[in-house]
Amino acid sequence: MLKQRKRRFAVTRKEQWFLLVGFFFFCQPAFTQTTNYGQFWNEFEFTRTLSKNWSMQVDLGQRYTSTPEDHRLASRNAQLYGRIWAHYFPSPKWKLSAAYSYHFNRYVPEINQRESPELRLTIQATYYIRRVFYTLNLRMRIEDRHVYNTDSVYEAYYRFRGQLRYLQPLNAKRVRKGVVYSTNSAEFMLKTKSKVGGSELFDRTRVTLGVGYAFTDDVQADLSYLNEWIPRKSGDKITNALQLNIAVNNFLRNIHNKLFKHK
Amino acid sequence: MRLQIKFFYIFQLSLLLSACVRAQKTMDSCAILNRVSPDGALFYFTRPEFIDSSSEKQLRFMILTDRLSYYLALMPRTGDLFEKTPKLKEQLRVEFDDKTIDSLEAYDLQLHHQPEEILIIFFRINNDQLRKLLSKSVQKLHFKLTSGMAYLYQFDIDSDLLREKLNCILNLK
Repeated sequence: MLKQRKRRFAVTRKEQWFLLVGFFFFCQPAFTQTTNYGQFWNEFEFTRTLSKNWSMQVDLGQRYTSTPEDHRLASRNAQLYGRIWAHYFPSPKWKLSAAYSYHFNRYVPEINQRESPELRLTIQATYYIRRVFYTLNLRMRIEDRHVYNTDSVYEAYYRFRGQLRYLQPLNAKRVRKGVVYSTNSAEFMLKTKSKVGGSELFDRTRVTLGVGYAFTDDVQADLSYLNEWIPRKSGDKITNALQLNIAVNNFLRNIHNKLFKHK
Repeated sequence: MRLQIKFFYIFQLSLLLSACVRAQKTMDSCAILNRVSPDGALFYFTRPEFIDSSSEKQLRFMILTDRLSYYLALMPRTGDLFEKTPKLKEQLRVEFDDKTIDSLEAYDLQLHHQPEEILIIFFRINNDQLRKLLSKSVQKLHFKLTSGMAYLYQFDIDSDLLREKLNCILNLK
């Protein structure tokens, strides 16, 4: 009887994850004055393998934002970026990655960027927990950001990011052509002090809830709602964004095959 | 000018070398291919090869792995045209030469219409089954599909080829 009662009130593993995601989602304090932004993010990811344990990825992305004066989602072009990744798989459960990226910050409110560039070096470790019906990724990332500031110098500061991502195919056991999947993530970021980023250690939290569809075995698109909370002494910033990611695997190889192999 | 000629020769030499490496790879019977899966991880697979021991060559197979789990993919040329993706009625029955029978759990089923109709059926191989497939000889594979009506298929298997490909993919570790 006691055991049954204990079981009834015990929190299952699944519920623990929901609580964790809920914590990130709802812990945005409403005590300070906040500024809300509506944004639209889109990213194209091109991936391919290089050898047995190596793969590479190229990301091209763009972000639009509203401003305090104009609440339209795409009233300003916020950022353009390009990033190149090298991924190494030392074991089935680990992925180590490094990337270099160029960001052209046209209007990024939280770092007061206006028409300024940023260079970013990233190292990342991802741990995979794979089950038959879902995949859980734990991602740790360190970014060495060099942001052009108002003194006309590239100011360097570090940012640490920890992310938990959950991917579940909904109408099959794996993501392939014709499969709808759910992709959700919770992330927190810490940073060092800087003139552009502020003196706070805690940078932001980010929660993403989305669904995706695999058009072919190599092309997927996912559409997500994204909520970002940026606590600052001068006033918190909350971003609600719509995110569209398109991932293409073996882009050049597929085009080559289409053009030359099936004629 | 001399520098340009040097570069030209180096370029030609590198082309020749890469062609040699590519040719060696395609001739390699243990060639393992890989691709990036949608969750960003890598998975590995053997080239599709005919596995039925009859001369009719109606069944191709692949072994796939993410280096944690192993899968057998069967691509039967059944002669039956399916409009919709059929369903797998039962698990895959594997008949060994000592007349024992094991069942592989169905994992996924995919029907491609372009450029030709290919049905790919994925089965999960657990560790015990992996050991059995490596130590014993497989004689026959049986499976049943339904798409309005039931279709029963049975194939005689080239056991050595199956074992060879399993060994290839296990050597990835």
